[in-house]
Amino acid sequence: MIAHQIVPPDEWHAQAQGAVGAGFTFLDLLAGIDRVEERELVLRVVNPENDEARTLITRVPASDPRVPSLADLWAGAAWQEREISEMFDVVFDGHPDPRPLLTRDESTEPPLLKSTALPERLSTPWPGAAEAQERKRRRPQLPPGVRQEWVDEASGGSA
Amino acid sequence: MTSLPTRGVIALIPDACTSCMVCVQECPTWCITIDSHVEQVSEEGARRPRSVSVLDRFTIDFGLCMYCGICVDACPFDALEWRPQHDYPADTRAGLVQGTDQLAAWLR
Ligand code: SF4
Ligand code: SF4
Repeated sequence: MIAHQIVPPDEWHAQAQGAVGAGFTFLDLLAGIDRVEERELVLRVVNPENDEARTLITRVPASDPRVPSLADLWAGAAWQEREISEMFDVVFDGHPDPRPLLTRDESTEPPLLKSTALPERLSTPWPGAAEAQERKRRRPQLPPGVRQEWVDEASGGSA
Repeated sequence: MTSLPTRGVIALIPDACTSCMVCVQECPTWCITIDSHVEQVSEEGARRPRSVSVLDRFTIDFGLCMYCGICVDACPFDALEWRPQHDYPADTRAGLVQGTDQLAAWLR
């Protein structure tokens, strides 16, 4: 288990700044996680003098996912925040350049949210569909990452 | 192997694999495929022949694999293992798909 500290969103910037002041000057990771009701942000910073690391976590409600940008502390955070923003629909207040980083199509649903349907998965044969002899199931199993309602919607829509 | 700071490649121990499909079904990127068939094996003293799965083909598409390690953790028979090899480039997309022989060769 990696030791981490959970901080409220309004302390996110101050805590990150405090870490820089304490020698954790290297931005190792800034990533998002969809916790359904909340979006989680994980920041891991390293002290290059002694390789010690500190991990900070904050959670914002999915209904208003908003957190201050850390791009003034680490210029590189700007890219990671752009990616988190398009992938998880999080708003970074004070971001110098909040354009999408990887997605081009404005209409794309945030790809890494669990609620986003993955149409490719409905049209790609799932290699797990072939059951081993001993594990025949009564009901066909849905591939991981595909929800029953997407299947229903897709079949209902095309019928 | 999992304690290494890097993830090199996933190797297969073909003799340990029972073709149970657990890794195929757990892999989030759908990059493992398995072909197998069932054979009847008669054993001395057994009243009826026993059905065993025989692995025909096992592939991992390293163009899709995201090195999450779920397959290694999920395999009930410890047939998948992390190995440190990292130099397996290909000049075609299909060349990134590795089969049983290469997956097993990485064990050495
Ligand atoms: S490491 Fe992850 S993505 Fe790669 S084959 Fe295993 S389960 Fe699939
Ligand atoms: S989970 Fe293990 S035993 Fe089962 S098919 Fe995969 S590698 Fe073989």
